[in-house]
Amino acid sequence: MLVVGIDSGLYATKVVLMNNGKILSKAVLTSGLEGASTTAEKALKIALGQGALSGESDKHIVATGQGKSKINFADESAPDSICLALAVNKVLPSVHTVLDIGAAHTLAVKCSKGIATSAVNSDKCAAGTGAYLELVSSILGIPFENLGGISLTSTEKIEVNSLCAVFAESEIISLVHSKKKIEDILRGVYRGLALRLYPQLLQIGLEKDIALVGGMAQDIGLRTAIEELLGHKIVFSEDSITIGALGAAIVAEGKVKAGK
Amino acid sequence: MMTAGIDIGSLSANVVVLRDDKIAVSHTILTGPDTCETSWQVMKEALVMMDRNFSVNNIDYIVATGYGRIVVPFSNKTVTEISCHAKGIHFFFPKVRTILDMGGQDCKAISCDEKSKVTNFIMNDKCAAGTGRYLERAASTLGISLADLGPLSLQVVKGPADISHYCAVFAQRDILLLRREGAHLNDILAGVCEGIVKRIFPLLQQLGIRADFAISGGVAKNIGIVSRLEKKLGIKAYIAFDSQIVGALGAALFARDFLLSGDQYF
Repeated sequence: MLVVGIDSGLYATKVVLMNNGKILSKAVLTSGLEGASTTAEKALKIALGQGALSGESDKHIVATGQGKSKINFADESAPDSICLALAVNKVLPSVHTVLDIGAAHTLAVKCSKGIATSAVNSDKCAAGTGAYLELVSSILGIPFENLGGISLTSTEKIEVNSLCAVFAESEIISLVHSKKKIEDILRGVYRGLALRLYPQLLQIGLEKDIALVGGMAQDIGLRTAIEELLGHKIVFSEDSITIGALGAAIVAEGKVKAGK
Repeated sequence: MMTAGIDIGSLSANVVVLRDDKIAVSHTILTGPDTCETSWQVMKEALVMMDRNFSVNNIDYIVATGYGRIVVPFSNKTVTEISCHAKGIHFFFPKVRTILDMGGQDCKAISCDEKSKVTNFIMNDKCAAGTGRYLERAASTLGISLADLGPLSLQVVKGPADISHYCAVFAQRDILLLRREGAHLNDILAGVCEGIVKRIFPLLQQLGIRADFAISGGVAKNIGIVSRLEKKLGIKAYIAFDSQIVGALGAALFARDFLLSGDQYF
């Protein structure tokens, strides 16, 4: 039977389709202002279209992410940490600590063999999240996906101290006015971001390997800054953005196997 | 005797000039990117308003305050904005013992004694939630002016909208979603104001309120927040006639005191 995992985030909605342990298709859609359920429905249609599965009607759907309770066509919902632990076990089995950095939350999960043993979530504040970098991108007028690469060319160490994303905006503007180089400012921004994530990792206790997942995992600037801070390499997978949705699909599969 | 206070805040720069014990002039401009230049501009403009031949040399003593106080090139001394606010408020309302200073970038709750000496304070300057910046973002997201925000927020239609996010960045998205769902502008604004009050209240609670109570800083001009806070605290708030100049006034009063006590640099 077809199983569907939906990860409804504040900025992106992710869908993964699976059948008998195999990933059939994936879809990622920007969460618009139309409501979580509508976006998830659109993303599911895209994923179904990819796999030419639109005719198949019998499926089990599990939702996760901050909008999980709003997906009204889902059969059930599953906690983010459980989904992450399951998916990481499938994709990156050597990993024991997962840091999930999305647009609007950061979640650190400690896991062993697909089971989440502890988790620390932060979704009250934009500091440390993708929303922070989105602000930085709009102030500097640099596309979001270029920020990380530019930061790596930095030669001078600058501190960006503001914890709050809103205050960082003014701090960055005054750094630009004082003729600091963009790459140095960006490096400072990433170093600051890594520092905000550090307490969360310490709280759950670091155990190797450490993986970075979520929408922000692709950002080379952030990854480098975290690696520098921790002093060792971080594991990551190219499709880290859909990892939560994959976990939800695995949950769905487990339910189907257990006869729901 | 002429003394002056200059308050370089994150959003506005203010000057108050005292001739003996009376306010001779007060002036406010927006803080530009170059804080040092801003300090010259606001001071020169204020002096020209008094007499077009005046320069900083005509002032006997200048005290700078606010977060940009260290870059003011012509000040004789700097004093923290907390002490200046207590002193400035005391000038208008001598009985005030608790002050809430809500600025563009931070929020402070201050206790002071009968001589306007600060006895305790609690501040939030780490997070934009509960500051003027939060209001600015909300107003610009909804395309209205800051001046209209307060009065409109009091004309609630269905009830205050629920802005569930604490963070100013995420609240902006809440506001957009509410707008999309068809919530009335006034109800969203009421939600914004209630959110701010909810964030400020713990600061005051922690400090402990003693009457009289006064609100200063730019946000004190917002009737939507002031009236909700008064209701929640069950106490009337005094507002200085131009709450943005309170810090600069306090600085000018300190300048007068320093001059009279012979505390001079030159």
